[in-house]
Amino acid sequence: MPDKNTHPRVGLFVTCLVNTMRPSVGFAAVELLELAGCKVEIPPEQTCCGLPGYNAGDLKDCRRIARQVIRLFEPYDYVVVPSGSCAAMIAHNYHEHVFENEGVWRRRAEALGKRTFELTGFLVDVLGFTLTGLPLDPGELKATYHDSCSCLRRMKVKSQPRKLLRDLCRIEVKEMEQTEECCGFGGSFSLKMPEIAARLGDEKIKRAVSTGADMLIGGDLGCLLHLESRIKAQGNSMKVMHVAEVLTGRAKVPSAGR
Amino acid sequence: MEKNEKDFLQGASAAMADKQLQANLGRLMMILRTMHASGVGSAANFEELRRCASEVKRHTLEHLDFYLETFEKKVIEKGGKVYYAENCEDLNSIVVEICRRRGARTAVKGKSMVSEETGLNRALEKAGIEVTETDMGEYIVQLAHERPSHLVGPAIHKNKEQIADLFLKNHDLGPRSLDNIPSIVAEGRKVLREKFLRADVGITGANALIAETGSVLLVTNEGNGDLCSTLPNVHIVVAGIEKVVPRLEDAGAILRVLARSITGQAMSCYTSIFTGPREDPEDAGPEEFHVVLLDNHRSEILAGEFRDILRCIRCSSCMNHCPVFGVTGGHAYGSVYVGPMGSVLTPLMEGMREAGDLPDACCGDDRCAEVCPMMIPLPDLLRRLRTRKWDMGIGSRPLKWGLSAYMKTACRPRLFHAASGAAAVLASMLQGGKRWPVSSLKRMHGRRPHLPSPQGKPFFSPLGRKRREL
Amino acid sequence: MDETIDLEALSRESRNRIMARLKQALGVVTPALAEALPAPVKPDPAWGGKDDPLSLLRVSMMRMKADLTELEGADAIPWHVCKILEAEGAPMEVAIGRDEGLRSLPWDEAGLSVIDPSRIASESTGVSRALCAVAETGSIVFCSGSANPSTVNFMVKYHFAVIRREQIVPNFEDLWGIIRPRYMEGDRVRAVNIISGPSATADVEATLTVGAHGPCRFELLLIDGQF
Repeated sequence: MPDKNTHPRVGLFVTCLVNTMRPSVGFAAVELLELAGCKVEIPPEQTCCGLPGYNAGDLKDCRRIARQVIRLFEPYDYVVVPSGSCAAMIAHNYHEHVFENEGVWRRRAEALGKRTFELTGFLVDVLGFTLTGLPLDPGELKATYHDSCSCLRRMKVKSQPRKLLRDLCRIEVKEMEQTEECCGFGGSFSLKMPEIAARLGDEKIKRAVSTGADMLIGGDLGCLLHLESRIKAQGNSMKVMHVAEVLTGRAKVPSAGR
Repeated sequence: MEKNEKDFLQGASAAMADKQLQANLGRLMMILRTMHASGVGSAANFEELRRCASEVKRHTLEHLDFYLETFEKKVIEKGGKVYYAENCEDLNSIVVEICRRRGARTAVKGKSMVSEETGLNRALEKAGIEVTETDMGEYIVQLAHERPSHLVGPAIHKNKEQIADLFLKNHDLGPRSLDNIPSIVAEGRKVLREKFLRADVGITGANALIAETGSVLLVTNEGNGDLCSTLPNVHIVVAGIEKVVPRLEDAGAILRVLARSITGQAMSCYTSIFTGPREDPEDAGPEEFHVVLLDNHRSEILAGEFRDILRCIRCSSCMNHCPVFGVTGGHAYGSVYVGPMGSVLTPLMEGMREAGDLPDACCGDDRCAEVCPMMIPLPDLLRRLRTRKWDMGIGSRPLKWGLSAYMKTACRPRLFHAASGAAAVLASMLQGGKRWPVSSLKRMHGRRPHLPSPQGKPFFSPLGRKRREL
Repeated sequence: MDETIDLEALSRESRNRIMARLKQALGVVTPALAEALPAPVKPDPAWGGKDDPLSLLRVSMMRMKADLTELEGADAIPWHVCKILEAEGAPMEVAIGRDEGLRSLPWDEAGLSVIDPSRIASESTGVSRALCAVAETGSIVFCSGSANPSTVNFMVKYHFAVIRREQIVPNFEDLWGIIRPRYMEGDRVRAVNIISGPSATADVEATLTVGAHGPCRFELLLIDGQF
């Protein structure tokens, strides 16, 4: 745990979805980390964490990508990722599975994995971030929160984003029923079994809508884009935002994926 | 073992369109999850119980040959007989032959997944032996000539009216009303009691085989397994070779997590330990006690990277917590073993080419691993199967090519960023009223796909970096 | 059946091949020592578990929809059973095995007749002596034999089990110490039945219904003193 007065060097892993679909999440993440006193660097050679191929069974290419990520991010004190699934890939899957039979790389992956965090988990658990008064007009915002399975079960992130939303934006999350249920995204799963993914997404949205919230916040862009596409399909008006965007007062920009 | 439908997606579509099934399944899943939570919650140290049970099984599998030999020796010592079957056909022939030697005409059966695996009922019927399922749910499914849709609730896809109709049609009991559940269960009890009393042979599965005493452990809530193994003159136990445990205490370790994981009970209503045939003529029980052990690829699984799946105790927790199973139900899998454990076991028993679509039926939420009382890393095993499938070149080609191209591009940062810039532009263009040409996306969204559109320039583009005000 | 198979040969050949595969898969491993197995773990009851065994047994049995009645002496058994059977409208007869202690109770005086287990019918009542009761799970344990054949436990509609107060053990794990000697001394036990409630099914619309195949009512009679 670093001294609060020091400025840890953080390597931001932007993720491929944030890069192409929602750069503002990346900018928001930089802003939050800098506010929290980190020296943020963004290695420009970064691409993807390899999760899509890993899930589909392409372990060979996944290893190449993983080596690339390890080499790029080894110099930093911490690796921070605005996504639970990509964070879990680097923090757990690299050393537990991808390099399970490769001694040297497994050790390197494990060392890096220990320093890899999901954004909100990092801000709360590692930095103890408690800044207040960020520019946001509270009061009118009724929001519910979607926990990604990777955040919940792999990265142990559940209370952290809620705490930040409460402390920074005075947003009290309106919890939906069966809030720990999967939204059906599952990466390549939603391409392979779109009908089932859509059904699971629709059920999630039904529960989100019945909280009376008009915004759905989450920490994983994959889930959020999937849910957004289902919201569009249903002709619903619920807004979908990444937690980093909300925390930095970007709640007024258009919904993710619109 | 056979799959009736090869295509999981097809089965899933049908299941999702079946409103009756969806309502019943949803209700059952809620009930089972609540019961599971209360069962796990009733022991403050459930994690420790789980670790103990898994460790027992891990140790046993590591010495499976030794414990099987011990078990076999003990069964024989206690007057029973042990047979080995390499595959489903062998098991069926052995059971049929035991029945034939006794001149048996009728058999009653307790719930046994192994007998479903081998298709034992059909083999017995072909040999002219009338076989009756005695678990209430299995009996209903048998009358309807269907397949169980759930390990714990085989007939859960039916409502009480459908079951009452089946009973009225099949039981020759005159005019009567079966308009409530107790009357349906009471009629099942009455009809099946006659079957028990007339049966020449009782067939059951086993929840564990205890090596030190040569005993068979059987758990039920209805008591049907006990009647099967007590009333007929011959008791035949069919079980997978992985079911053996070393001692009474080790069977106890499994009992500690089994009922808690299924129904939330500390212990099921009936837990029985059977050892050999009856010796004392005044005692109840069979004159002959046979145990038939099935391999059917288990020894191969033991040798490879999927050994962990052999710890499975068929509690159904994984499927009860699986979002995919929650909307498709068991029939979509087209196999005997369903849900996450089935998606691991079926391709290993039937082959990747036959059942390779099952490991894809996983949304990766990791819930199954969290609830598995035997700590089987199911998501990891499913992913390993997908890797095997990838390496064998099975599966949707466009998807594979697309992913492969993506992964290879991701190994080259400059190309990747150039390509993602182009992709963002392309996606924005396509979003302007046009449709994505990918068929799977059409299936997902019906006729009109609703895909998310990118915000603008990618993060890693000269313009993107400047637009930090976004 | 037109063809017969050589059962023993088929099984023997299968056995050899399976064992060879297992031995090849497992390689040379350390001998299977019982010490390598984990010691049994008892659940820590979430409710604290500070209750005395009898109170705990009562709670556990209630949870499983089973009944427990304390009686002062064994002679009170027939009167109690009679009262219940009258209330249930059941035939006034009880099936009992060769257990002399049970058979010699004053059944006649209570207006009940004793029948042989072989004559159990669908509405019958059975009385059997149990080996012990596990407080924590509400399980009653029986050993089948001529004195108490297991048909009495399963075929009747109303089942009464009898134990002495001191036969209550706190944990399920205590059971193994009690039954193991019976396996080891050549005094072979064909069936140990661990019964934790009346027969139940939830197979119709996931609704719990009591009285599937076994008894609809399961009651433990707890006796003070010798019996």
